[in-house]
Amino acid sequence: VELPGPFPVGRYAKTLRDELRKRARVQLIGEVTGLRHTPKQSYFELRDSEGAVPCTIWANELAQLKLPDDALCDGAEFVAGGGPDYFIGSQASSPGFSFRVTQLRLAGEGDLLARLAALRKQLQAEGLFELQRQLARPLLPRTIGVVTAETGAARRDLLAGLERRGWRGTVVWAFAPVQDRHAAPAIAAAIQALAAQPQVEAIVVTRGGGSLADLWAFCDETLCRTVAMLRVPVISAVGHERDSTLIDDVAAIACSTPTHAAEATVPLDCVAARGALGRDSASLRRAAEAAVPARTPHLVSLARGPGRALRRERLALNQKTREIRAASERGIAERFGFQRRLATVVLERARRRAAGPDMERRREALHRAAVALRAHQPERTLERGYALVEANDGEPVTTADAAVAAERVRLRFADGSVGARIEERE
Amino acid sequence: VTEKPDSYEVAVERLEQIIDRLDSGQAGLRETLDLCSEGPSWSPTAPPSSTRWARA
Repeated sequence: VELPGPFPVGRYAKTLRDELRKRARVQLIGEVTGLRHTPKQSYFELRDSEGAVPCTIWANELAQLKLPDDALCDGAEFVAGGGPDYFIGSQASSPGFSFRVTQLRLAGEGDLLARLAALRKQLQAEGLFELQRQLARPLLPRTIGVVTAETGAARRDLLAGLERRGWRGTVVWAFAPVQDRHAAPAIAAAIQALAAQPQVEAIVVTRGGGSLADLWAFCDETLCRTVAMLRVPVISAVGHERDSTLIDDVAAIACSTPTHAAEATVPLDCVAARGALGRDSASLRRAAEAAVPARTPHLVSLARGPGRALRRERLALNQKTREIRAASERGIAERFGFQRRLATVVLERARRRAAGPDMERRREALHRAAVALRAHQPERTLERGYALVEANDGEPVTTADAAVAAERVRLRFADGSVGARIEERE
Repeated sequence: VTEKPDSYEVAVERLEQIIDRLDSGQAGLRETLDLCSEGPSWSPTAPPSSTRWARA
């Protein structure tokens, strides 16, 4: 493709300058860096996290602005009004682009808040506000990392808060500037260094109060993205209660003061927990000491239980054994008796069959003999009034000589016996 | 107690001997008492004596 030209470069440079100067005049906001002054002009860059623009302002115009002393300095947030310009160069200086500043003022809180709102909206849309809040936080961390200024009330207040909590863990300090253009990168580096230590279970980022411009480092986009992506919970305590920085939005917990941060970092009140533990320990010890004597009688009773049950069961078993044996013997005896009666009946029948009619005859003869014998029994004689004289050995005394010799005898009558003494022979 | 007879016949014969002896009136008191004690001890029908007449 054949391009137009060639054009003389000087004429092209002027044309370029004229075209740039036609551009709309605008205001830019950013941090002043690289500030340097010459007798005719002042040079600096306006920079934020996304980029920078070289700026120039005529010395006389800068003087007319009547900015506070030292207000224009590196790290300060400024709003610059003007438009693009191009210096076509000279024999002694090189050409270059710059934003020609005709108005310059310190960035007001409104400007910063507007920037902060836009950045907050962007980070929130990316979900960076939720990441830290989803992290588990230890109830009693053993090691805490702290990013703060080496000198300052925030450090002292945080330590006092941890002391009141009764916490006895380890603090790993990472000191960093907390207010200037170098603060945000230094704080981010410190946080990353602490997070790289495995023993650090939570990180506190704290500083005292100030204007939004003073706290602006804690609204740095890179710092806030770094915090959001950490896997260690970050507790922010930047400024006072009314101050709200972007790090508060991405941190796991945003606290209003360093003291509050101490309580949030160590949720467990160690002093109260030690007191409760001591009381519980004493209560447990008392309960344990009382439990032994209280349960001893019951345990002794329970210990006797098996023996009692064994004796009871043994007695019952013995009783059952006796009953079974008796029942067995009764059963055997009954069966034996039945068999004997049966045998008797069978034998009697057999005997009768064998004896036949002669049996009755024999019975009758025997009965007659018994009746005859009965008639001669001594009781019949005694019933008729006779008496029988017996010696002490029961032998009948049948002679007078025997009676004298016996001396003492017994006279047996039908209704009883009496003792008698032989006095003399007649 | 006199030994029990082996058979009915022996028992009846012995009872008749005892009765004959008692009927004869020749038995003394001691013998009478012994005879009266002997019969009922083995006779199934003779009534038992209520008195112990046997020798000690």
